[in-house]
Amino acid sequence: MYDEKILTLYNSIIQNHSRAPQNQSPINLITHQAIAINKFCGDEVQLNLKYNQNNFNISDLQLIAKGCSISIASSSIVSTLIIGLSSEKINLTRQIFEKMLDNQNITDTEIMLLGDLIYFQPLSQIQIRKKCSLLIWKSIENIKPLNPIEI
Amino acid sequence: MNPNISQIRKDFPILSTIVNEKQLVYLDNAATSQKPIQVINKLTDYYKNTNSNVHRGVHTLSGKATDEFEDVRLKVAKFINAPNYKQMNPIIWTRNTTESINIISMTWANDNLEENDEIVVTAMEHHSNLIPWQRLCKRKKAKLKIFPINNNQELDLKYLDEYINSNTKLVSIVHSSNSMGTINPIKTLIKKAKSVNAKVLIDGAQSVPHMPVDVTDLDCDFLVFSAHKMLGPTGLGILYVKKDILQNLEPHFLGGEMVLDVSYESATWNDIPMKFEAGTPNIADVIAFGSAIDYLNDIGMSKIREHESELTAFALNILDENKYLKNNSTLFGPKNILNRSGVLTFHSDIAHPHDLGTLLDNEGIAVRTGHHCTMPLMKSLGVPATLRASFYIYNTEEEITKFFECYSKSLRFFDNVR
Repeated sequence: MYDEKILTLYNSIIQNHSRAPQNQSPINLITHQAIAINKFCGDEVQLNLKYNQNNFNISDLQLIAKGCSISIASSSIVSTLIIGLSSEKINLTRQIFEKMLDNQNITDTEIMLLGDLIYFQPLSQIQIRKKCSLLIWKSIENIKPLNPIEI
Repeated sequence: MNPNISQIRKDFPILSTIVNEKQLVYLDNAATSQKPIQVINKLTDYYKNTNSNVHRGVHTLSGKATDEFEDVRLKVAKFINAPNYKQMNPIIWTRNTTESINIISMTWANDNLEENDEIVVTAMEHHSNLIPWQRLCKRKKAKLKIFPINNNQELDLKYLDEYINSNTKLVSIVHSSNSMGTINPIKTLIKKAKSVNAKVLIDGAQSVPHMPVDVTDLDCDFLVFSAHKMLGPTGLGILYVKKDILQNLEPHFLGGEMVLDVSYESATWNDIPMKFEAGTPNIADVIAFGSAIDYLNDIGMSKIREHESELTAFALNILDENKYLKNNSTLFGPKNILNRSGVLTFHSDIAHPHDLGTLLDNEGIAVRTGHHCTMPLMKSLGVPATLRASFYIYNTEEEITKFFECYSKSLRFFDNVR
């Protein structure tokens, strides 16, 4: 059988997210967009976003992800986490996620923020695949406003 | 007599490495080969005992380094059977195959290509034999034509007359495909190119390390390849240029080493091939590469090709008998062993190659996953990436059996959670 880290990484929750990613349906209004491509492997993530005009949080989104199961599953999980969160909270979640990948200790409160992202913890031992799980975060770095597009 | 593989394996220290608590099975040879102890020792021996700059010194070490450095140039010229190499050595040191192609695109091709001329490449080129020509053709308003391939990823020779014609100035083609394992019928293409007065560049990065390549017999104008894929060090490429072109070729890089006389106003160039090598060359790696050439010569390039063909036949036979793999995995490239190399590239709908590659790595097996620098080809095949196993002289049937066991196991692992 495979190592513990492989079995943890490719558990059923991650597998399910990679086979059937969340938030794939088109949204009715796109105010912002983000795209990230991993130029080494060709994986792609696109986020079509609708921002709440009052509190500037993401109120709705569509995820379009192509690539390996790690990049698709992490994108799917992140897409479920960021709806309704402030940009500060989103940044904090990313920081905790990266702390986890760097094998640093994280508190129970921080674990709560990570949700199902906790299953990517084995990537701290598989350096080469870390970038797959970070692609969605790279896209979030590059969120740009669009002239609102009504669908 | 077949080469003694178990004896050969003892020369490669890295092959005893343990990866993820498993014995390493190194099947990523198309990316880079491993290095025998003879090459490693030569490199360290050079730095310990000979290190000095070449060509200009009058002291003993400089003379020794120069002799060893130039001996390897002769060795490489002989290795590819360059005509009359003792009179004018046609081997130019570069950083890698990519740089060799770029130099030709920026010198000979830049000087000779005119508007509406055509350059022909194939649909299976590495990016390094595509992008330099894209840029040059745009600048010169010339046409870049992509020679089509058939469903087995072989060149479709019915297009020979259509694609190589009186407008063709250069045919720049890969001999052995790094991503599909196809060995192209380059003699046929060279003959056709010559009949229309076109020049031919052969990308030998995946052929020169694995089979006899004879430039006199081929009659190609340029041959490019890399040392690191043939047991040598990284950072060293080879550019062979045929004599009639070499004599009129302008140097691309200018500076020290490549000059004969310099004034504040002008300069004259050194002799061929030194006029193409500005600055201090990669002396240590060239000298160590000499040991790699000796190693390959000792085994014999025909024997190496034979061994890899046997491994490939063995692999194709396992695939043929494994129903699960047959139904769940596609092997690209020719089915005929005569025109395929030891490069096996797979796609499966069950899982992405990167995920399969991680599971194989967990078993100690090193394969390459990705687009293999052939993105247009991947797009035309409708796959984002593939999983590639590639063989060399030190690989064994046991390793190939293990690869297929673990590849099947990784597919079943993802298949079970579908």
